[in-house]
Amino acid sequence: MLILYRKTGDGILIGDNVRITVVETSSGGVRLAIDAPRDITVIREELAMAAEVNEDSVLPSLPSLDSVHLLQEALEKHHRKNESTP
Amino acid sequence: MNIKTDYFGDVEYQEGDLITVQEGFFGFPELKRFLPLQLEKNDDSLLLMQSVERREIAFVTVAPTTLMPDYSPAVSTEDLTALEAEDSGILSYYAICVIKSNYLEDTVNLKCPLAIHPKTKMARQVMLENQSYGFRHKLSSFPGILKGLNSESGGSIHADTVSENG
Repeated sequence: MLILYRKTGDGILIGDNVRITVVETSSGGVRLAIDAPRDITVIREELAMAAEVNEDSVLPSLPSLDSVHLLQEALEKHHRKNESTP
Repeated sequence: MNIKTDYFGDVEYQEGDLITVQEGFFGFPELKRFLPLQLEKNDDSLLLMQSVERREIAFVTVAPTTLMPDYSPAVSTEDLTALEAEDSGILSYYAICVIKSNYLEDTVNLKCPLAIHPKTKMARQVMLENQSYGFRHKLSSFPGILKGLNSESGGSIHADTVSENG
């Protein structure tokens, strides 16, 4: 892994077509500008993770509604228990 | 209006029942219109977000406070502005669940709930700034849930659109 030091306004070139420029830095954060061709996907890492979780949760991958039903029952019992506790 | 769903068959609904997910769910940007369906009548704690545009797409979601009573989402200013919400307190939240055939493996995404404005029915899947909320919390890790999961269950699931004042 390459780790390098850049100042505000400095850039990094990746391959022939991608340029990343440091626009602004603040405590704990950095604002970057990314120039890349349209066919290169640029996405914040956590959004890719969120999309992956969504893919897993979409119903075609669900074994059956019975599994959801089981969860429903569990929540209900959980609820009732909470309500009955003073 | 009427929609054919894979899990509940034909479901009747009104235009006003639909929610609009502004940018779509992450990874599903083209799908914006969803019909929230109650899995149990008169119970909003577990909802199936059924796509109106693609019948095979639906997400199982849970009201996070059912699991974690002190759930307090920190929504970004950008998301609040897009939803025309003064603060995060006026929004309703639903966290997306991953349901597995082994219920002990079920997870919930507390990091990116669907935030819904109850008045306008506009919604966004938001990325919370809270460090302690993750993408895959085991449902069985919440106090009391495992107990409920372990017991034998009866009853049936009803499809019912969420009531206006629900």
